[in-house]
Amino acid sequence: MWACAALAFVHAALWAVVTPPFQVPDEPAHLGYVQYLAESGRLPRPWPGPLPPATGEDAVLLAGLPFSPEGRPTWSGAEEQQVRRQLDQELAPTSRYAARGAVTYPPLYYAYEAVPAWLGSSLPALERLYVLRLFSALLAGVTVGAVFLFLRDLLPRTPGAWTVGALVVAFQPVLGFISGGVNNDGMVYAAAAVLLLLTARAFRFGLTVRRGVAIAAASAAGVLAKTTMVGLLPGVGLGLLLLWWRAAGEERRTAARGVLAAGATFGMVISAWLAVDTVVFGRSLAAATGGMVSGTLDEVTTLGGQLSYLWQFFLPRLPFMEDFFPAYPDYPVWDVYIQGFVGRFGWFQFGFPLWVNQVGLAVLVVVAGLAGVELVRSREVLRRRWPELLVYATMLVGGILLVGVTGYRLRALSGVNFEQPRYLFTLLPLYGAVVALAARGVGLRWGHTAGVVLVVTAAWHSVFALLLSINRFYV
Amino acid sequence: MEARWSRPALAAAAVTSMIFAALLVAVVTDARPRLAASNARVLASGVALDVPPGQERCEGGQLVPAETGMVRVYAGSESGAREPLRLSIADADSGEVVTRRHVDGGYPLGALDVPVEPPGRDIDNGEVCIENLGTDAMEFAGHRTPLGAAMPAESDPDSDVRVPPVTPASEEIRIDLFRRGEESLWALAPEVARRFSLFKPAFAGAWLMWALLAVALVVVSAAALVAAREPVPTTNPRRDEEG
Repeated sequence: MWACAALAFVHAALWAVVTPPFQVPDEPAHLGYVQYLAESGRLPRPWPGPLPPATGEDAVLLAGLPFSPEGRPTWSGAEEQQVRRQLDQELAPTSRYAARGAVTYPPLYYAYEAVPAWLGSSLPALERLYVLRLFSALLAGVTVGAVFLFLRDLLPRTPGAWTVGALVVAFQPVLGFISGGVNNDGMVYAAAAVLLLLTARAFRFGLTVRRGVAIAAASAAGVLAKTTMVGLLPGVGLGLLLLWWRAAGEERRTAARGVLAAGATFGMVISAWLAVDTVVFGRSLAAATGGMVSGTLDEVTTLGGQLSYLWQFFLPRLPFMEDFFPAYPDYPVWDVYIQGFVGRFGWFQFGFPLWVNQVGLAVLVVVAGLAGVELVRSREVLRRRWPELLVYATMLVGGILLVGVTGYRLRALSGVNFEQPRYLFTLLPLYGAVVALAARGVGLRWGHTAGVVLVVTAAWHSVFALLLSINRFYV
Repeated sequence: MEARWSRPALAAAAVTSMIFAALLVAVVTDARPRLAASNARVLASGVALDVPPGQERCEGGQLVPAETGMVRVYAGSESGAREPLRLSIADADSGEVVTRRHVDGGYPLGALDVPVEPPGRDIDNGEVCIENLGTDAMEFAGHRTPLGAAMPAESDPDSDVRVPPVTPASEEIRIDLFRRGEESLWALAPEVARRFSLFKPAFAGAWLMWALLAVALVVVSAAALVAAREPVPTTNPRRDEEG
């Protein structure tokens, strides 16, 4: 487990150094939030009207960094020295406006990053940014460590598959890329992986008060990192009820106490957060919920529109449906989720050539097919473990639906495209499980060897993704 | 847990790695024109900038690396005219014109490549000028405003990337400066390593990229070794739950 976690950290750290400053999605906003919190001890509050001009380090970096989402930088040493000289001057403190669109996010990730930001306040801004990135990379290690333990509880009789599933997740290049930047996604991945681990453990050993509290704590930590975690909560609720339902005798009473403890813990943490956020920090409910609650959204969305949107994202559009995706080159699932999962980097701007994406799709199909074979082969076990399987399926559907609902609401509000594979990475443990099942699906004799081939392929995939980024920003 | 190396797994890992290493060699030895510098901030420009007949437009503050051997601009015109041009590069600090090239009319519209003499030294404050020697107006793609600037940005809701308003005053002609001839990534690697070290922690030098690539290869090897450890099955009653 430790080796897998360490490799995931090193992998994310490589991405942290390869990717130029501010070329991870929304990094300026996340950094602004961290800096404001570290400098002032306060959470940024949303503001009405347009964004005021940037100030302080934020302004120097925004104006001086030569990298851009689409263009090539100038690679001028003189330009770097000029930016460094400007950063060395006495600059205004970071304003709350530096948080930009991230202002509505909950604070857990920013509080985590505010610690190194505060400790490293004497460091130059660029150096401090890399320190913050490395702290984020640690979360990739937590994610992969939790995936390993999740697989251990999910497939206890196939130890080789734990390492295979965890390492394939560790080398997912978009995971490394995002975790190697200042971005709250990294923390929600870690919280989700721990949540799935605890869920699997409760299904294996039974629900206790301690496990119930731990499940609630992981759920709350995820929600307080980013509201994409909400997509997993229906699965969590269902899981707790099924754990209680399937227990018998004394275990049922223990499980009931576990359910109550989980509900109380989650309710208390989230209520406390909402109270502190609105009363102490003076932020609105919309800010406290990451923009999930908004009257304006209700005015521009309909249930029919939502269903049509979801249909079109995954299936061919029917003649009577309004075309929600005219700007997509091919097919939303292929354009966004498949190609994006094989690897699209920067501000979701550049990725592999088409043939690589096609090969990637073929590999994913083979892996899914082998996992399917293994599931069919294990149907007796599945019959016994159907409640657990149902919980994971609910989490999967919930995670995908949440992104689809958010995408529709955002499109209705402002017409922009929202979906990116990184929003589904709360489900990475299930991806690891599919890979582990695929290795088992090859059979006893060659399953381990096939798993090792998958791991080595995944690792080289990320090496080429790193080279792709080097080619994009430095060639 | 007890574990042992699996020889077939190690062999499979080695073969897989050799296949990818061969692909890597093919990628890094592929020779093509390589950028020396560019002022472009977009993939495809949404703004065309006029250069009327008989007039000149200059873009200052350009980094012109010593090895620049070709200038690429993106030419167009409403009338379909393809007027003769004069392209020059000057050092704005000293006033010295380091290269000047005449381009005959009739060139294909779109990417227009103009070979130039390498300046032989880096010019940090270069000025690239295009003079229209013809009788019709010519247009050149800008460097900052993306195609579809009127469309909203493609990003997530917290994105602070917003398409900037079209302000021709801040728009420059897009200028891509290429190194002379064609080069493989391997041949260009020392320059890439220099570029890589920019805007990195102050202690970083050109060695950093090589060090990271070495670490990446170590990580691949370590992953193969970790995965190739085959756990020896043990009997644990807690594991029987899976069936």
